[in-house]
Amino acid sequence: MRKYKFLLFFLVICYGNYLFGQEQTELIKTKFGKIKPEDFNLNLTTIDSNPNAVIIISKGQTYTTLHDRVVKLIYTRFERIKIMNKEGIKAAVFEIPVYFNKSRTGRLSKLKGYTYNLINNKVQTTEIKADNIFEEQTSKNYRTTKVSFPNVTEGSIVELFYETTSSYVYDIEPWSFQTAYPTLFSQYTVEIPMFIQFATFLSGTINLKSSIDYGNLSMPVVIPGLDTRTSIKKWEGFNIPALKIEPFISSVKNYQSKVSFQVSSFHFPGQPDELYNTTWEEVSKSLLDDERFGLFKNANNWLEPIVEKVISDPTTNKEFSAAEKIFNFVRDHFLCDGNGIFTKPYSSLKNIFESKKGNVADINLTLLAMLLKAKYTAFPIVLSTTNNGVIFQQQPNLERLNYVIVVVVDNDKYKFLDASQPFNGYGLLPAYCYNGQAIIIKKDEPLQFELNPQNNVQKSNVYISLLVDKEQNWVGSYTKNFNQEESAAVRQEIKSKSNAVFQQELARQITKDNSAITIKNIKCNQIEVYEKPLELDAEMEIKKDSAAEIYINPLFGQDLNYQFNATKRQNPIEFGGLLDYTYELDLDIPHGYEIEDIPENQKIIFDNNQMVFLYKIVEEPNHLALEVKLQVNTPIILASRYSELLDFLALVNKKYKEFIVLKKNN
Amino acid sequence: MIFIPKKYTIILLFFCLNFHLLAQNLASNLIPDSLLKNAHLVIREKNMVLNIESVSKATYSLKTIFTILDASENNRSLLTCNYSPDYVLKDFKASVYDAQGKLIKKFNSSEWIDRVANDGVSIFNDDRVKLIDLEQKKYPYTIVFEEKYLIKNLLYLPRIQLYSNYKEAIEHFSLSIDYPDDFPIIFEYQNGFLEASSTINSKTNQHHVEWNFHHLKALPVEPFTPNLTYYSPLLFIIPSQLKVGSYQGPAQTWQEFAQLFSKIYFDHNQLNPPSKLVQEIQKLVENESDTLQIIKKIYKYLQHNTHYISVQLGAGGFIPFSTNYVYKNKYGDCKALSNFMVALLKTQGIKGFPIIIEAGITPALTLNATLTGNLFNHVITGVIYNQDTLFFECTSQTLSPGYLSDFTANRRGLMIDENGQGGLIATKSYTENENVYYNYLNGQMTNDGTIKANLFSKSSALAQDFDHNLYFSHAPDERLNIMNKMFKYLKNATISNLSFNVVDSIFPIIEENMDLNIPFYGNITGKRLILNMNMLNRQFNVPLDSARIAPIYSGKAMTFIDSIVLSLPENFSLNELPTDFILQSDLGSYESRYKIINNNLIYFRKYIRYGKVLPASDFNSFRMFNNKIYQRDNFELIFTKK
Repeated sequence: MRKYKFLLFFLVICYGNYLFGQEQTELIKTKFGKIKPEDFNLNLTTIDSNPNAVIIISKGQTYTTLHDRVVKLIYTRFERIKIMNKEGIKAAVFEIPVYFNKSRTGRLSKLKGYTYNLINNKVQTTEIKADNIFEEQTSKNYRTTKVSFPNVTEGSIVELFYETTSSYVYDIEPWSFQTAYPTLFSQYTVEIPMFIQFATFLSGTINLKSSIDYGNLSMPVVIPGLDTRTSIKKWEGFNIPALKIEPFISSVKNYQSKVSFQVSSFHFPGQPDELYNTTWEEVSKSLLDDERFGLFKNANNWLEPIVEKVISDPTTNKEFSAAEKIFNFVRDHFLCDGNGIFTKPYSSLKNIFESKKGNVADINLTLLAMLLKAKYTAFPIVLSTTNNGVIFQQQPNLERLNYVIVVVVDNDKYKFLDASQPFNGYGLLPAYCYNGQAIIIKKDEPLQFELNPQNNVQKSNVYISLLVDKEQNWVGSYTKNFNQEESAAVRQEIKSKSNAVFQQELARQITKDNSAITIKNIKCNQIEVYEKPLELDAEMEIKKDSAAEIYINPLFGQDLNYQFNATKRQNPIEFGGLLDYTYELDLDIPHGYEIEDIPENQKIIFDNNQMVFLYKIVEEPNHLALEVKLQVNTPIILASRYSELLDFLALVNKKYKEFIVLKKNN
Repeated sequence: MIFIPKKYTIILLFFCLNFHLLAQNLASNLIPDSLLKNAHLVIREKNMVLNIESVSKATYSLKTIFTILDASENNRSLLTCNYSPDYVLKDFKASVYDAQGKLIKKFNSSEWIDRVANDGVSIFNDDRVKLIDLEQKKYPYTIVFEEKYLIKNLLYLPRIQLYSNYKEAIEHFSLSIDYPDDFPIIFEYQNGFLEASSTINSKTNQHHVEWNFHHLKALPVEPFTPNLTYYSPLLFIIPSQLKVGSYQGPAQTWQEFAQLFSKIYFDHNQLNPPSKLVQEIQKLVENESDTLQIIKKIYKYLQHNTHYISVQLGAGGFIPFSTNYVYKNKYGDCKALSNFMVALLKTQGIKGFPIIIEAGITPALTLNATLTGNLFNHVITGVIYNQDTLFFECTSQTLSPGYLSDFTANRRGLMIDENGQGGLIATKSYTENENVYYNYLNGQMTNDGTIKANLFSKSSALAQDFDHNLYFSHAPDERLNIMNKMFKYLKNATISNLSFNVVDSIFPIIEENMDLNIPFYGNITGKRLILNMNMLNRQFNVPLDSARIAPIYSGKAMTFIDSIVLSLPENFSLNELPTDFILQSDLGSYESRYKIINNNLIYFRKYIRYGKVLPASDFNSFRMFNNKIYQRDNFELIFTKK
């Protein structure tokens, strides 16, 4: 059997070699500190044209050492970068952060680097010296070493090798195959002994070649019972394009090619086994057992009278359930200062109450504790927000979660609650929570479910009615029902601006600086009822125009909110949810005028009703009625449909601009 | 019952009383109504006490009590104390109180975060910062913040700016400065800072000066203003002597200041180039006899061989790294690179000198003709050539030789001469005659309103700063995306065949050429076509503001010329050709003309902005001028199908 395995491995190697071209084989063989004049010529035909810098080689390795029963993780990294132009000189500054604290020591154990310049077809080498290296304590637990390469100019190649040593074996360094610069060759090898079990997570869309092999941990003294076999995992990729930051992306992390790890157990003879979470059951259990999460289970008897007082507060709406009252109390009393699934260090419900602030976990777990005190059935839910990247069912990993919400059973209905956001209503979730997998934390039986962006429908409408008064001016009303996201944003504006400034700014947004249009007496309804969409009412007036022909854009210069500037697209277009927008106009025709021309009715469809635009105008005696609808029925559009999307948007934009022509009767 | 020994009860009582007093003082409803207009934050009390003891010692205590009225100023709850070896943080305290003036929490020093002060530029510096965020859920709330510093280098003396923020009213502000009789201080007042005179204590021989301000109303945020520092009352505290590292000398006039900095910059043979470098330069210019060409070649050498990396260490980062350091590493900060340039010039017997300058803010602050005040944050190089001075930005790898961008142009800096002479010098000033943005667009419109066009642009001097950055700092793909965004009025336009041409000069030029496809630009409904020929530049609309407070500034001096030729589908005829439109004012001039030649519609627009700062009282005429242009710029031509 062993023989076969070897043979198989050999075959893999041969096959691999067969696949690689000459250049790729050269790259694989490249050693730190060994450079030839030819290495300055790069073949960039397969990746971006004209990058500022190119990573020629990015090669990393993580392995363990064992001395005196102490296991250490060693991480080495070798980078060779070519500076293509002056802008790329930025790439010749490196930062190496190293984590340390009292019990886990991390240090930079080796550091070497060179700058190479090609002068008269000879390589001139400059080594980095002490005055190119700066070390500083950037924060409490991080020391950062910065390297600024000497003698760098356009066309230079810089090369860095470093090694870090850490006694904290649970953090196996992740590896990004894709960065801000294109990479010709990226390779990562991880060799970990069998007594450390870990899970591997690979993400991204770049085609990587991976292989696995087995080895043995060398050690000076044999420790009986220690499984010293190692597994050697290796990934490599060639000609990897730079990672692009594009608009309409929830998190670029979702598309970055990367490998990361989670240690699940640590067996060492003579030491108790240490286990880490590999299933959601274990994650759930460890969360509940952790003081920084499970604090809502504590007795907290002092909380009871507070809950009692909140529920029986005579100033609150009588129609509210106790749960709703508690939710409103928590939301309106605590300030949120960050995300996280764990409460802040040294948090207790008592000092959250005292300081009146905390992170999302502090606040929503306080809410949970209060709901439980009021005898509700309620559970915490953990998730990852859209900008934090998606999580996968198969990868139970606490590190990837960053948000806690609560589910409560209120009047036999499930309500999802987030009291950390100041303008969020009872039973509503901010759009960024709709990011796929979420986990209800229940002892021994965590429940996974999906917060599907499909369920995040942002619905809004505008209605304008304009009649003609005696002086031939148009007078009437402007009404808008904001969608949930807009409502929260406008409520925030109302809170932080004086009424006069708010009115003026809003009026300008509606009139688009068209001096003929006046918006006044703006009234907002449901400002304090966060469960409901914010409503806006205003008086609208358009000064009379006595020209022989009047041209009116029935959308009054409104713009489409989707602006794409790039000609090409690398990643899918994510909207984060669905959109349903309706615009209606009732317009009376002034006396003495008749309709000369109106836009055509039109329905424009993108990709199987994924986006639908409807333009419907009805002509009645002395009256026009317009209905415009824009629906986005998918939270995500593939990059391959990008140019069609642009065409669709151009057509919709055209319809937005079209106008009505009124002509004086003879 | 808790037993309290008798002798402590008095102390307790005292604390209670004290607390009671404090509680009363800090309640938010005690803020006079007259201060609430435009205010989102009220400084209840600001107390600065500065005691200058000697050339290398001053103590500075600052106590600020402020009430944040609403969420719009919630970022002010972040408190920071910057410190460094020359600016030692001796003490810091903060506490927060609710609307009733009741203490919410006092923060002890372990709750503050301590980290490196990242200035966004330096790769390394020894400045650090302590910070804490006291944000509260319920507004208003009041923060009491106390800081105490020991200043060892008087270049770090604070500059007092009366209004440091918009939307902030000041109830009481007191400032007191003490200094010994044998170490005189001069005060320099700008923008109408209240003048005060000192009293001397005959026993201690200490001078004492005091300023007190009461009930300063908040400044609203207004559009089209220069930087607040440009017009807020300012006080500079100018000591008779400065000590930077081991260098000491008088520094109250520019001449003295230049003399001191001459020592700091040129001592220790910092300029002496290694012989290898001398040879390199010798070789570079050996076939060149024209001095101007030699200067340019040397600057190009510097640009090609060095780059900017800021390392701020020791003596507050005032002493530049030597020529040798820059030569070895090929990088340095602005001081080191400017000195390097001076050293390179010197090898050819050409005289150059560093100029220290306040970069960034445009329009720049006016400098007092004689008195100093540390306004500087940057260094450039000057070279006298043919009775004129040429200026070089040594931290840029790409600027044209002899050209300063907006960063340092149009202002005064201090020239530092090797022999200790030196003084104020005006940098290059670029006016609307040099700063020109020219566009020529030639296109055809199809039957559905889509335009296919070629656009040629040519920008010069300050008008090309944007394109310079676009061309030198961005990859081609990024360039396209940024340019797409620039065409505000050309929705969904796509750019192809983009090319650039850069012409080096002391008034550099960038030419761009591209093809544009603008879907449905002409707006067609039924038989009518609506078309705005002004496709590229449109003036902004200025809203009414009857209570304007701040001076008016709408941008640097610049000329915009657009020339647009469009051939139209034959079946459309123009209803009416607008007459020529010409506008003249103190602010600038504007003209807009239409013409039809054959089937081509021709549009010409020229707008010159003089780039002046005007008093608030001119707001209405500013508004009228802009809004007339705004209207004409948005003029729409109407066509009918034949």
